[in-house]
Amino acid sequence: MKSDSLFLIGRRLLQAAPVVMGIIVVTFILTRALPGDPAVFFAGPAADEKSIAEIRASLGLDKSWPEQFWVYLQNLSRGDLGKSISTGQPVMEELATRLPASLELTLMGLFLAVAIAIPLGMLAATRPNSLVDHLCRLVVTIGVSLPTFFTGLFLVYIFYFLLGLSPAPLGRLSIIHIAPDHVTGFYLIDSLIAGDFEVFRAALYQMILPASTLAIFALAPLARMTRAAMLGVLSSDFVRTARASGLSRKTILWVYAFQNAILPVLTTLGMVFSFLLGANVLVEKVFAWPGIGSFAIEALIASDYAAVQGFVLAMALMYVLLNLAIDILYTVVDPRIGLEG
Amino acid sequence: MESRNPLLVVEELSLEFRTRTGVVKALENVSFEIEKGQTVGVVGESGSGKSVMSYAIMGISDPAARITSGRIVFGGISLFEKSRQQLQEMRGRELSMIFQSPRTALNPIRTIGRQLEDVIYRHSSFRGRQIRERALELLSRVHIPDPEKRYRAYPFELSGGMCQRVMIAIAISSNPWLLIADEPVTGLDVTTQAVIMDLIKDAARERNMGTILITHDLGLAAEYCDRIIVMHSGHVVEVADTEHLFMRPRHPYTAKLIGATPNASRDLAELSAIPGNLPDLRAELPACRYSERCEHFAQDCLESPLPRLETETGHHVACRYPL
Amino acid sequence: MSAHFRHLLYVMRENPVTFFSFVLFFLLMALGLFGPWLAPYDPLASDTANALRPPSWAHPFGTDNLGRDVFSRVITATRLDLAISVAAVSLSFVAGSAAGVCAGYFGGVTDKLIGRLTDTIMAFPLFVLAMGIVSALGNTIENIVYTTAVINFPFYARVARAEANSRREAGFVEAARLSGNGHGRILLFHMGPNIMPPMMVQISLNMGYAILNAAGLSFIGLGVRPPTPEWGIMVAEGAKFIVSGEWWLAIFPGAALMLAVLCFNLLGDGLRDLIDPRMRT
Repeated sequence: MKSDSLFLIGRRLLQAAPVVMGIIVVTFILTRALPGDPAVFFAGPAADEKSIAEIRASLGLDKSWPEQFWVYLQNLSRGDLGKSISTGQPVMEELATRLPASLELTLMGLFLAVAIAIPLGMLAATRPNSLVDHLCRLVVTIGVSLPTFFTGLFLVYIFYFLLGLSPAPLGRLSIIHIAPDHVTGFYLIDSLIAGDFEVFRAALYQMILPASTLAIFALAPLARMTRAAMLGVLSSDFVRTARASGLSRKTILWVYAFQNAILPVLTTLGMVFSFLLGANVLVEKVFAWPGIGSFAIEALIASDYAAVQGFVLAMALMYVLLNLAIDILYTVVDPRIGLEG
Repeated sequence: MESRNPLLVVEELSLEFRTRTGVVKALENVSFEIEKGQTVGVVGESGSGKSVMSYAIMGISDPAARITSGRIVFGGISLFEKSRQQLQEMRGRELSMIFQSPRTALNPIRTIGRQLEDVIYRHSSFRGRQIRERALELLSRVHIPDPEKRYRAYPFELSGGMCQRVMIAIAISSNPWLLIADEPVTGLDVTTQAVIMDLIKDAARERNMGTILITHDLGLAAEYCDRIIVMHSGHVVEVADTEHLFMRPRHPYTAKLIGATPNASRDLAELSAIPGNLPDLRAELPACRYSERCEHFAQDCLESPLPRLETETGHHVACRYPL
Repeated sequence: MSAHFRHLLYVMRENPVTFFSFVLFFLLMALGLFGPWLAPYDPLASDTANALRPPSWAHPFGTDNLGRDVFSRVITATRLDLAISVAAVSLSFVAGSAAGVCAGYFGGVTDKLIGRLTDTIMAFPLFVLAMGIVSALGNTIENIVYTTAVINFPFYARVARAEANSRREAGFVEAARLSGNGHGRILLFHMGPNIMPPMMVQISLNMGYAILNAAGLSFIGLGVRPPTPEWGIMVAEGAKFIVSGEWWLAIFPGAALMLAVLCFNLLGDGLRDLIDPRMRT
């Protein structure tokens, strides 16, 4: 059994290879499909023919596409994503310093969404047509229709301006606090490691609104799927058997129904994460969150191509990683998985 | 004469479903009895209320179902007076049930051993290693080869027949007094059918357990049952000892059913299908729900109440003009 | 036809939410078509003497930092927002159906190639991919349309492929083939009309997402440039006033955006129930 799982996990990893290759090819095409001549752009307005040609050669743009692709691959394997023209720093470094801020926020949002959506969906499914069920349907319908940036601003207006419960939507920590020593880059974890509860509290307060904004967005598809899956499982033959065997309500609900219903929810989780990575960019802008989303927006406005493509690549790889993790989890939870394919 | 003490008494049971398109009168004044150790067959077309009735006895009816009248008395105690908690504890311990399509009736992502253990844990005082030993003992009791290995198998790794054996092991794990088998062999191949039915029969005999065999296969009922209940559209139309019923069916529907069952000694051309469909149970219904399809229909068949006659001792029929 | 109509009426009566979404849909369409004539003020005319006024009878949605009437701007923006998403959805519908039908009908290498393409697009977080494409193609409204079309392409291609695949052995396709029709004619005249119902459902389910996506791009400063009235950019411009309490600048265009998306999502759900009740969740 154990070695079977390992084999399946290995196969999943192999299946991810062409996807990663596809992502690399697409980002390469995006880098080369720039309008106009990048060399002219990099050389600046005062450059003459000769210096443009020099820059073209130094960027490797005078080579053929396959050669350029080969160079691109080599650079990638060294972790070289080029230099950001707006900051002058390597894109890899820029992304690496900002990534923890984005990840901390996204994961917090996902955590909140899961923590609310799954109980909500389960309650709705076990009490059809009750108040909870109607609430669930309302949340599901409204949730998918809310633009994230709108939700964010709305929450800021209510909780910061009107009620004064939240700190100003300006980044990860208000200026009176000093960031904890860098260990993981997650302020919530680093502050605990440093034993600084004051900073922990402050960081948490800053995070509640943006994380809730993300959570409201991610809630709908998760609750919808949980409810549907749970309804399906509760009317299944094996739950009927469990009831006929006199198993307790708790056992039926959590061991028999929930463990089966969670499988399609896991699949939805992958899709939700994809949405969240995109929504994260918008939320970072609303809350001036210093993550890779804000960095990418600045880069976009400044036509800093290397930075944007590095960002796209990083996000796509993160998404692939998460999908892999979900697949592996699926393999562990569902014994039937080995038979197909 | 000794005092009769039936295992299960179903008395004037009526049940309806409230649906968006109307109230479905799924069962009406259903009455019958089962003695200890007796095997009773419930036959009828699909939609006649066989399963609905067994779910009502088990107390696992759909939430939309409402029992509007009647009683179910099990072991001398009315089940409707029990609390939900008490009923839950009785299920699987005193009343058990097995279903058709055994492969979907078991939890697909839990090993059969664990599923068996769940029920043993719930209903016995066994703990720890004892549970496992009891589970293995039950698996060998239902003739599952190599129980140690099957114990760790998932339902999808076993055949339908094997899964049904597991279901039986789960059902008899606490030596219940009554076993309801709802189409237990439908969809299994013929050899497996016989093996499963013999398994059920042996288990019942060992424990002096009452058995309700729900089936649309009259031949199967004839072979294994002491008594047969014929249902049509939520009515019990005829109840009799098996031999009596086949020798002299009194209800026109029973006669038709017997006529529609293939029999080795009879020519296929003689088989007659039953004309018409089951009536729409949401509509206003005549006293006799078979009247629309009946060849012996008379105008007063529509009038209430539906007469229920005992034509000879133990042979009941619900018909104004029995054959 | 009248049976269809009666069925439609029945669905409406049974489901007031779908009815509500139909009303909202016609309202949106009316605003899109006649918005510029319905707006009480010129959406671009600034009036600094009346800047940042809260909602009043004269300005139901208030005025912005340049004294422009927010109500007129929200109404005028309807056309541009709908136009971008309708154009994008039409593009991905046409390209996606064509690719999907070919993949499902021919199978083999065609299927593999198109499958690989859709898988690759889906491997990206779609909004992030959209940002990358806009940056590569250039920051214009047309490119926002193309980009939105690209990221929605897989949804159409997948549905069309599944539908075509299930029908490639169907009787009417076989009959068309035997009566000497070429692949082109079969795909266009026999396959095409048959996959329309599920594709229509896909369109209405997808439309809301397309609107959200396009508005998101303009919110981060891509595509539409100020002072053009557009919901996403209006929310972005109003964002800085939220913290000082001038909520109406951002909330009204945001609410308009939300209603539009809600309308199409409800419509999609309703249409799906109408066409295929089994898919209901």
